[in-house]
Amino acid sequence: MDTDSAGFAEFYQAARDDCLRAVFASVGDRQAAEDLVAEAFARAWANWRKVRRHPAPRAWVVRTALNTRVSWWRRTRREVPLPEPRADVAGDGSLDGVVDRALITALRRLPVRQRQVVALRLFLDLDTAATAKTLGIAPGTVTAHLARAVATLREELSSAPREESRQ
Amino acid sequence: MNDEDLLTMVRDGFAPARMTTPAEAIADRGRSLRRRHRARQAAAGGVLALALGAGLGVSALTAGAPGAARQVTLAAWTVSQHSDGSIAVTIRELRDLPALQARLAADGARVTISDSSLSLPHGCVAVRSASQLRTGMVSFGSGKPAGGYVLDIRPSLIPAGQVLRILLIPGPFKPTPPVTTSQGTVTVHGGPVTGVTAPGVFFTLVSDTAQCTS
Repeated sequence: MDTDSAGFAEFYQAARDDCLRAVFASVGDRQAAEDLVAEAFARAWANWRKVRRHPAPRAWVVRTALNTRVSWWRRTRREVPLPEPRADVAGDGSLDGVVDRALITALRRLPVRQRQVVALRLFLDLDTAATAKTLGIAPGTVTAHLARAVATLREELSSAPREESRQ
Repeated sequence: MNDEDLLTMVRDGFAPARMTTPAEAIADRGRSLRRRHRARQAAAGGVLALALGAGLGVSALTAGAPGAARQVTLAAWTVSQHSDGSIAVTIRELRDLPALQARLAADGARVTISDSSLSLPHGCVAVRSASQLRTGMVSFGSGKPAGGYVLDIRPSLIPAGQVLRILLIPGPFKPTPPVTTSQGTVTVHGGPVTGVTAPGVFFTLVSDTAQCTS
């Protein structure tokens, strides 16, 4: 394994889960996120000499994954509806390897940009400036999106147990 | 629960999600992408070399055609450089665009052409001066082929350190996020773009950096 391959393998090992979680939170579908992140990492592999010099390679991967989703959508020229939560998204939030359905549902109810801001801030630990640069929006917009997202999530997550108890 | 606790809860909620695609599969796909990219480059270069070498579609119009100095024609496009330095580009099909870009570069025009993405590449900075696009550096020419484009480019008017980015979209263009339009100006990721929407042709100036031109 040459130096480039070793460097990429190390990056993939360290970054893949965080990138998956960021894209998962953004698109709301676990398998779609896996496909998009895998494609983005493959592009990073193909352009590793450039990507490794990027100031935030993880953000490059997530941005590429989200752009790929837009590109796939443009190619089909139709809106791809968010599928219902898959079987690997659990309702009790306690099973190993799955994510709480209430959490996914709450995130899905956020506008796309708010979801993306939350994902980049939480899972890639980007600050406001880096998040703004990655998404191509103003720092003030990032702050506003995050505040609105937090307010909505608080409301959704606090009401989720009551909804479940009525079922 | 304060904001930090809420966000921590969300973060922790995703902790079980783990990437299952093996690194070998990523590398295999990466190799495939790289091979495809190199094959496209080779094919584009080969087509141009073949056309130039065989003289097919390439005509030197140095006499008898006022204003036209050289013309290169492929099935998809024609580039005519005039004696005043301006370049007329007729695009009939959205094919062989890398070869078109190479031809324009050979004629001294710092231009990137895309038919795939409205978004600027990551790290690419749009020049926020739409007025610079109104100086005649690029305009629509006459004799538009059906479903195609004719552009007149003046390379000398492209500012130093900047590259003219041309985006071509077949068919009527309907803006979708992250693109917004307002009073004829299309905004993509914070950068100003001017153009028309049927068919979609957009111009913007970007900085002459590797992020913008690679």
